[in-house]
Amino acid sequence: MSLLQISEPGQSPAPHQRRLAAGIDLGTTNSLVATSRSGVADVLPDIDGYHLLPSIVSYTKGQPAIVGRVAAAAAVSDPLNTIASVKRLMGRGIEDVVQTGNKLPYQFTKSEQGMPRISTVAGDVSPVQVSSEILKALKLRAEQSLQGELDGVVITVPAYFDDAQRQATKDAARLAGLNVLRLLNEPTAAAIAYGLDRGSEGIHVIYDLGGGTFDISILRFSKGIFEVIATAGNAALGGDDLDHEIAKWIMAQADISGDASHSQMRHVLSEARIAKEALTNQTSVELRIDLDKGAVWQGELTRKQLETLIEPVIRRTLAPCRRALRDADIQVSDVQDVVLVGGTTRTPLVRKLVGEFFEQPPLVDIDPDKVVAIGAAIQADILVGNKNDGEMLLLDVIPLSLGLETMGGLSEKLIARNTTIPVARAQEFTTYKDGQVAMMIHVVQGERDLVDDCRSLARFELRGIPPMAAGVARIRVTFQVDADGLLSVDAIEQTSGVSSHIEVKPSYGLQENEIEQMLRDSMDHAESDVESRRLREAQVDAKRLIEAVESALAVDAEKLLDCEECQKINQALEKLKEAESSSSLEEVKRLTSILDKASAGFAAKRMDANIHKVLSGHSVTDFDNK
Amino acid sequence: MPSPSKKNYFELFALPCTFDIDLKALKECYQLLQKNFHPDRYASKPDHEKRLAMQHATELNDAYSVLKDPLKRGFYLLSLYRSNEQNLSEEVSIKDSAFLMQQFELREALAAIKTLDELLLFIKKTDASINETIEQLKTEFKKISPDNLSTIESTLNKIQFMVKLREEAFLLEEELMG
Repeated sequence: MSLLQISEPGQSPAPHQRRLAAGIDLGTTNSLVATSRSGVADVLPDIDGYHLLPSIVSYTKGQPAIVGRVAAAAAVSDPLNTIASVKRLMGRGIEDVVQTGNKLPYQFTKSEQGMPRISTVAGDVSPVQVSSEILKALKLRAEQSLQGELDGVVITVPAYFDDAQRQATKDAARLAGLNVLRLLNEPTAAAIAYGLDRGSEGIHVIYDLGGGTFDISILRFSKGIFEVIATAGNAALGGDDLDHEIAKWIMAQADISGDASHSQMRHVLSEARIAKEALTNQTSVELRIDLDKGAVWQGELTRKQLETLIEPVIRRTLAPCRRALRDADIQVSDVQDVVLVGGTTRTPLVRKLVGEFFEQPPLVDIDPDKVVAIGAAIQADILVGNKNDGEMLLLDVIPLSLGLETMGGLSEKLIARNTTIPVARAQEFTTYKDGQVAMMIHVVQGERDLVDDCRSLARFELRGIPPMAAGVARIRVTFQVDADGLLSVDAIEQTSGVSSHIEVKPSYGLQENEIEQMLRDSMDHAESDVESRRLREAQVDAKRLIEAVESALAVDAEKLLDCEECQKINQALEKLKEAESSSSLEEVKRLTSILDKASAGFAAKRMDANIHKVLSGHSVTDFDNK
Repeated sequence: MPSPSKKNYFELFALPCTFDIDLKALKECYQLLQKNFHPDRYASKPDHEKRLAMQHATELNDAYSVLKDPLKRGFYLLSLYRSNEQNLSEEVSIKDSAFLMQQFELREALAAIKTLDELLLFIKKTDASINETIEQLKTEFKKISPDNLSTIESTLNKIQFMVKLREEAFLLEEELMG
């Protein structure tokens, strides 16, 4: 065995090589990538010095997709092949798309099931693929800037994203070849950026109004722990809705009919957005809209008029604010500060209404466009292992309740919203017919009582229940939500032990084989690339495991293991070390898994011993003095 | 969910097995343990360590959510006292008919509320009677013995009734606030 470095449990024994990590804000309108260098996190610009990458992807036949500013220019000339605001479609089904579809000028391909595809000249693309193009562009930017391959990223999602939307985001990252350390809620990321900036303890409210989503989060920061105490929001409410209100007004004024061409609609929408932004600093703005046959409509929009148009939309954000205060069990007067996040919070009326609601002027010191990416970069730096453990810990919550369909189409909630994650809950169900051998399990997310009013996440069947009288079988269903907010479900029939486990693949998500296929199909991942990347990933996993086991053995082998266990682990360890750099993917994976299994019991013992150590080191009375 | 630590929730946080616990000590112990075992501390560690960390953090969250809530803590403590492991049924069985009648009347009163001010007053009153009953529960738990387990259970069920009433009031509050 090689010389071992002795290290404290939980710390890396390897010499401290700085690992490359980045935070990605994958926004509806714009996306950003930030990274932490010498302790300071900042957003990375492109070669032209722009920080914001417009979240727009343009497809042309036989060419790689174009992302960003250039694609944005194509939005008016080629609307059908230029996809904007794709975030609104992530993890959504065809019915949701049709609802939103009135506003979105693309053509959708109907499919029997699974996620909707958008038809483009480059073929049908799924929202996940479109998103992955944006992520690839940001990955390239980061890797050029950092001059190396990224070890891991933190990607932000709206706190109010449901399981399907989170899963779709993770799939997009996988397609882009990114190792996701954690999905982080956007408002939480903003809180990290602010909290660590100021180190101020207390209750922070993050009001995040982006292009297409609204989130409100209430966090408590104390003794290095960020605890999300409540979150609420609306996953389909944002600056785009303000643009639509203005566009509707323009269309009424200019006498443009509702069935105007795609490019005409795009033109009006884009003028509407420009007018909205101009009215942030001006009190009125001139409008000029090109109509058919060379005609032109000209008009004026004042800030007062604008505010009348958009006030109802902005007021819709206040109900979730109330709900979050209630869930957090706090009063407005308990709030130390209110942070504004998202480009839409530049709108003066937003600042005014938020200020009135929380009875204090909101904070805007950090650029609301950049703050989320900066917070994500800080968290990525911690998770990848560049910072000392114990520096900051984040305790996040699940935004929407999770439940199961029961008799009569009702949702029985297993995990309530705003429960701290990771979390697991189990519930027992029984059969309702004599001799019933299978049971359908339908997982839903949402607050309403009727299943039809909730979002359907997954359906699966537990088969092989031995025939029994009705009500005798005991089926225990366990929901586990991990630290990314992603759900897996286990079902087991207790009397016979028949079990079933699924990683919840959302009803509108991509299937595992579809992702594989896309990885193979994508132009910059020829088959050999995919294979070699897999091998490299497996080798990195193996190496990480070897390091961890060796350092664990060095510290705790004598204390916790008997000869037999120790020998078994050592054998598996030596075998994996021999094969570590082997070129056979199968072999590396097989031996990794053998060592993983052989050392699992040891790891469990160490964790128990650690808990014991932590607790005995600090008797209850000690806590008061800290 | 298997309990990775095989300890009861009180032991997990090094607390005495009583109803009237030190909430501050509970919180600080929870935070200390999470700082050591949260999956974020294991984000770049091998898979089995990640899994274990998740199981431990899950148990900590579960235990904390039970102990910090007086109603859940009460039911949990009662279940530890009951020799058989059978879970306490969720079914509410209250024999105190005066209490049931009063609850029935309160629900009718809630249904008749039209203004926010009335509702806020209603919530305040409900909070007060919940706190009052929790005080009663504290006394009962101090004298816990095989003989008064059913008294305790009945008090817990009463609190559960009132908590549900308060939840309904919150729903109405959301409606009234729009």
